[in-house]
Amino acid sequence: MSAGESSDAGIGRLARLAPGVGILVVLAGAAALVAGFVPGVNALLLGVLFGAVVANTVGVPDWARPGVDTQKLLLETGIVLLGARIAIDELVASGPVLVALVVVTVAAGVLLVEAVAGRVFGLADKTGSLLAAGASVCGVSAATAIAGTIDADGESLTHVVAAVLLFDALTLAVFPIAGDLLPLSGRQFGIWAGLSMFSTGPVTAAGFAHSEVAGRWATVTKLARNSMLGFVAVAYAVRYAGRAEEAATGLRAVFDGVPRFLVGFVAVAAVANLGLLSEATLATVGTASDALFALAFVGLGLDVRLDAMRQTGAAPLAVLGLQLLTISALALVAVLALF
Amino acid sequence: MRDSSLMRDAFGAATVERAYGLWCTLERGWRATALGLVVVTVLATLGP
Repeated sequence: MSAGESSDAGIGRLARLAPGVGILVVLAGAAALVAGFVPGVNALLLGVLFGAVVANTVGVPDWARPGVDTQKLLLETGIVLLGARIAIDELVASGPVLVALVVVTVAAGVLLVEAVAGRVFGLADKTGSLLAAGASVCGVSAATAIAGTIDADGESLTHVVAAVLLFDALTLAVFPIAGDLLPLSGRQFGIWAGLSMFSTGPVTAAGFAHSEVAGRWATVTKLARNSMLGFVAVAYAVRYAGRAEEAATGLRAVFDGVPRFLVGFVAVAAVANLGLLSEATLATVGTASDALFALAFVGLGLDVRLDAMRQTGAAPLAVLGLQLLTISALALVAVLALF
Repeated sequence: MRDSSLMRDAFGAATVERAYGLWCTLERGWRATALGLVVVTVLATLGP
């Protein structure tokens, strides 16, 4: 491909994204406008709601799909920029306790789901494992990654994804309300949400809906949880394959499980904490991060499909509900005691 | 003058081509990292 053709391809690609991104911008703008006029309404959550209403009424047209599908890239770029607002000294001070809490909650969540999915709810082993990873690590991304590792069938994965998405929507509505009712500081709420909720987008949205501080801690805690995916993938590879060579490739799998945008997040946090950015630049980077989150959360709503969720069986929902109630209760006690 | 302009165009187009080619090979997390770092660099350069 010549330089000219390459440029044309890039421009063509951007042109395909424009309509969908335009929809994200319009809905996020409408949410901000309404939230500005109605006291007590959070613009981020309203953006999710607007997206969900559009997706389940008029639907997302095919010509808008490429742009709408950038929502995960927008979310992850927003998280990278969020690094500028992270105080590393504060993070290091809480680090060991937070990491220990993340390891314990992920392990407890996986073991709980593995214990009850088959024996109590009669689900197949692999379906239980997909639910365990989805609920305990990072939602749909984890379930999809583990499905590849254990060679799960597409139908099981579809049901698990639908169930996880249903709980994402449910927790996104319930956690901010719980945060207002419970006597939690911003840091406590953020860590609690980061330990309990399933997917990164809803965790970030719920955190920032509570407060700026809660949003930062929710995101950091969730990133730590996401980083456990590699370890969980190795454990499942060994369990299902039962071969020594699977363990030998474990380090590579652990590395593969670490979200790549974590590199950018840490780099931006390091640059900001070294004092290399002025206060004005930090403020602008923060505004850019907020704007990207606002767009990403509308995209999150546009991915909510009630018809797909209705096809989920009762058993996966019961397993996820049990996991969520148990882990969030334990996490709440731990957060209140330790932070 | 014309030569200089042609060289600049060629350099710009080649840079765009390399950047686009690299972008296409990146998985989403690396793209987010690249975008984030570009945004921070641009804002730090243009900022007050």
